[in-house]
Amino acid sequence: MSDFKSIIKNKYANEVQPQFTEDAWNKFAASAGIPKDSDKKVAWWIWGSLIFLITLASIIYFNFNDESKNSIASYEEPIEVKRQQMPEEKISINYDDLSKKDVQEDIQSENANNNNITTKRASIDKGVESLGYSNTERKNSKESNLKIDEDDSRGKGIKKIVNAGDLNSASEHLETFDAIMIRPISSLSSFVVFDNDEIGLEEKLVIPYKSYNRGINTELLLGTGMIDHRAINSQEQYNMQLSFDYKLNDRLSVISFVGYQKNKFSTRVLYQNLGLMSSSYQPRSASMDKVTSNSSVVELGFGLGYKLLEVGRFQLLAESSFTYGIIMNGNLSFDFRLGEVTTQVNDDVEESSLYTYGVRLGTGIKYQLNNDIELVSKVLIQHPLLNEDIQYPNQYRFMVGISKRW
Amino acid sequence: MNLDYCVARLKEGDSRYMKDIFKAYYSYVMSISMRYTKDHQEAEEVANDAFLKVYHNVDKYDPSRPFKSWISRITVNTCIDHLRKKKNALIFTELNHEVINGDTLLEFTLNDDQKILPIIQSLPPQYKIVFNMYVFEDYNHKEIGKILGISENTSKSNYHRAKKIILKRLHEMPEYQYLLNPAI
Repeated sequence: MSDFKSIIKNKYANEVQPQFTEDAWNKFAASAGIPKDSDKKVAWWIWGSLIFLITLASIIYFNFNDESKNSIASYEEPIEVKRQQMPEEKISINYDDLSKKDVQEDIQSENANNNNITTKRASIDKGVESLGYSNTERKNSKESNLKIDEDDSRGKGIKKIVNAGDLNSASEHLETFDAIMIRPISSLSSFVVFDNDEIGLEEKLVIPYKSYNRGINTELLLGTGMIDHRAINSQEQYNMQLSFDYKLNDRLSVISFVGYQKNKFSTRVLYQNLGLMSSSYQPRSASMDKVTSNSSVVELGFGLGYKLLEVGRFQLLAESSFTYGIIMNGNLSFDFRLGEVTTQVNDDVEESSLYTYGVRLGTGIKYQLNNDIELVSKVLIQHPLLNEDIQYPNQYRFMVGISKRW
Repeated sequence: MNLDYCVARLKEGDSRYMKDIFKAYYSYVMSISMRYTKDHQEAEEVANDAFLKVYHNVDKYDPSRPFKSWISRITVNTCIDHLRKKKNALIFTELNHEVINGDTLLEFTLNDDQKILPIIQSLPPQYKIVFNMYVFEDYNHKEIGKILGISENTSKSNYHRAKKIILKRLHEMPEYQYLLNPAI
């Protein structure tokens, strides 16, 4: 039986059969903000190539630029000059002299006057005079710099005076001291890490930002954040990141990351190049009892990563980053980072892949508890610029953790 | 192409599967929107809007129900919204004195060479909506009344007015050979 309704339906079904056209899709894609396939490929190549070239050029510049090399080389000179002022031979000779003459006099005067400290100071003063320091310079040195424990050897005491004198010399030639600090950060530790007891300063002068030469640095971060995506709008996320930072040499370090977020594990390896660091140390008072420091560091990184999304689906990522760090006085440091990441989501089941591209902005605060342990907090923002995907959505993350050097 | 897989991936936010879904359902969505609009161009605009709603609201889709029904409902709603915006306020009038006959009272045949789409497209918007919802979307008048905010009788009245117009226009076309058979 054919009624009006079914006849009309059948007639219409046979009559109206619109066909899909690429033009219709392109109109929809434009209104939905989905880039056309051709656009995606072009954008991928343009952005990827551009960022890669910039990163590469930057790394080359900081590594092999003649000017940088020359500047670093020229800054070695003042160190050599200062060291020439107090060559090891001279120290040993003076020490010998002290041992033979002054020390004997000290012992005699100790026996005679029963005043160990005074005579020791007197003898050391002589030693200082023999090293070429004037009385004025010596007076400018703080008393604490000249204190010597009973158990200390005289040689060590002299060496401490030499260090203090070194600092006084540096304070007189602040520009020179400033210049010394413009070196690869990895080689700075021997210059900027002083011990309280050794130089008698009230505040410890340390560079908390990667002030280690070699070894492994681990960092464990736990965090929370929001993912902003149309499919999972404003979904709260918890994440974890464990990183192992291994320095290959003075400049290059390899950082491997294991991350956990949204029930998925990811791994990535970042090859990080250390750029130049500049520092300036300003004495707050002439006696050098307090010192303020402001330093900056530039780091460049290039990384590759892998993330298993599910069986048959995985994500490859290539990233580059630029980090600018500021090391404040004491144990506090801040860093700001700008990075970009290109990802390729591969689907073996559908034999397809999707490219995404986005930027990362971040800032971090580190507080160094001691030479090995740092407290770390980071804020990261990730924003897709091309082909927003669930695997690369807008993200806002806050993480806190601890960093330990082994 | 496994459409269920594509829908699941799109629901997860994998936008690359939108094109597969667009390809698969374009004809279906267009065939709905063409009934509610005046011409192909307007139908394309409405279909585009419907796909945008699908794209932006796919996270609300319940996978336990057929995707085709979900996309159909979105398209019909988009069409109704489109007509409402265009006409500001659709006036559905209840024709109390009209004799409402059941479909089974009418049997007719249609020539394959002739078109029914232009007749449907030429209907006044309020008749067109009710007619399409009743004939093609298989809503009953109670459901139509609930969706459109009108009474069941008003829905019936508008449907039969639409049917009357269609029959009249078919009658005016000599190429349409229809047979009114009140006995059935």
